[in-house]
Amino acid sequence: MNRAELQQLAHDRVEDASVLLDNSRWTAAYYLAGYAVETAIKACILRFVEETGVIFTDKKFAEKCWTHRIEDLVRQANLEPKRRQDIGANPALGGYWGVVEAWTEVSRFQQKAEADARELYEAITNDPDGVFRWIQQHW
Amino acid sequence: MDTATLVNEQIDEGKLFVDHLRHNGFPVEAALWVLTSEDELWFLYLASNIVDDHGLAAAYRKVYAELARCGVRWISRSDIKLVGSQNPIAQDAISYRSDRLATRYGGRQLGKMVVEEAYIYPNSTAN
Repeated sequence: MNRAELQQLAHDRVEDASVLLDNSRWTAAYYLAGYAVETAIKACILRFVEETGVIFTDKKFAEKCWTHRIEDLVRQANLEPKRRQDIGANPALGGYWGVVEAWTEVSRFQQKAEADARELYEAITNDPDGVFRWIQQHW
Repeated sequence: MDTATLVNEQIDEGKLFVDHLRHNGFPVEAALWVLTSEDELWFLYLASNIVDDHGLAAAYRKVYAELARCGVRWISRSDIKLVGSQNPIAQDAISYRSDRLATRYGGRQLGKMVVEEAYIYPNSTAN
C-alpha cells in the first residue's frame, strides 16, 4: 500500500465514522475514527521513509511500525518534536491529541457511548484545531 | 529505563502533580499509576469531574498546561490518561484505596481494563 492509498483510506474512514455517527452506531464510529488517525499517521511514516531512506540506516525501523499505538506511530514518523512544539503553541490541538491518544485498537472489543464517539470525531475533524488537519500537513 | 518498573521519582512526582492540579482548580477524585497488559507501560490515570462536566479535550488542555507549569521531569504528556469520576477504573480505584497509605493493587482488572499492577494514591492525596 503506498502513501496516496493510505491517505485515501484515512479520508474514507473519517467519512465512514461520520455515517456511523449519523446512524447512532457509536462503538463502530469510535473505532473507525481512531483507525482513520492510525492510517493517516502511517502515511506520514511513508513520507518520512521516502524522504530519509531510514529503512537503510535503522534495520528495526519497519518492525517498530508494527503497532497500533498512536504515540509510537507519531514517533516513527519523526513528528513528535513538531507535535510537541505545535501543542505548546496551540493548547486546543493538545487537548484533541489527548482524546485521540486514548483510542486503542482494543476499542473494537469495547462498547462506547455516544459522548465518546462524538468527542473523538470532534478531536479528529475540528476545523482548525483537529488532529486530522494537523496530520495532513505532514503526510 | 525499564518501562515496566515504576520508580520512586514517578510516584513522588505523581503526588506532586496531583497536588498542583488540585491547587490550580482541577479536582482529582482518584489518581493511580497503572501498568497495562496491552502496552506494558505505566500510565498515570487521573479521574476528575472536569472530564464529566467539560469533556475530555478541555480536561486534557488544562492538564497539559498545568504539566508544563508544574515542572515535573518524570511525567510526560503521554504518560497521562484522564477519565471521568464515574468511570469504572476510577470507581474501582476509589473502592480499593486506603485513606492514608498508597495501595499496591495486584489484581488483574480495573474497571474493564486488564492490568498487570497498579499503584493507587491514598484518598488524602487525591481529593
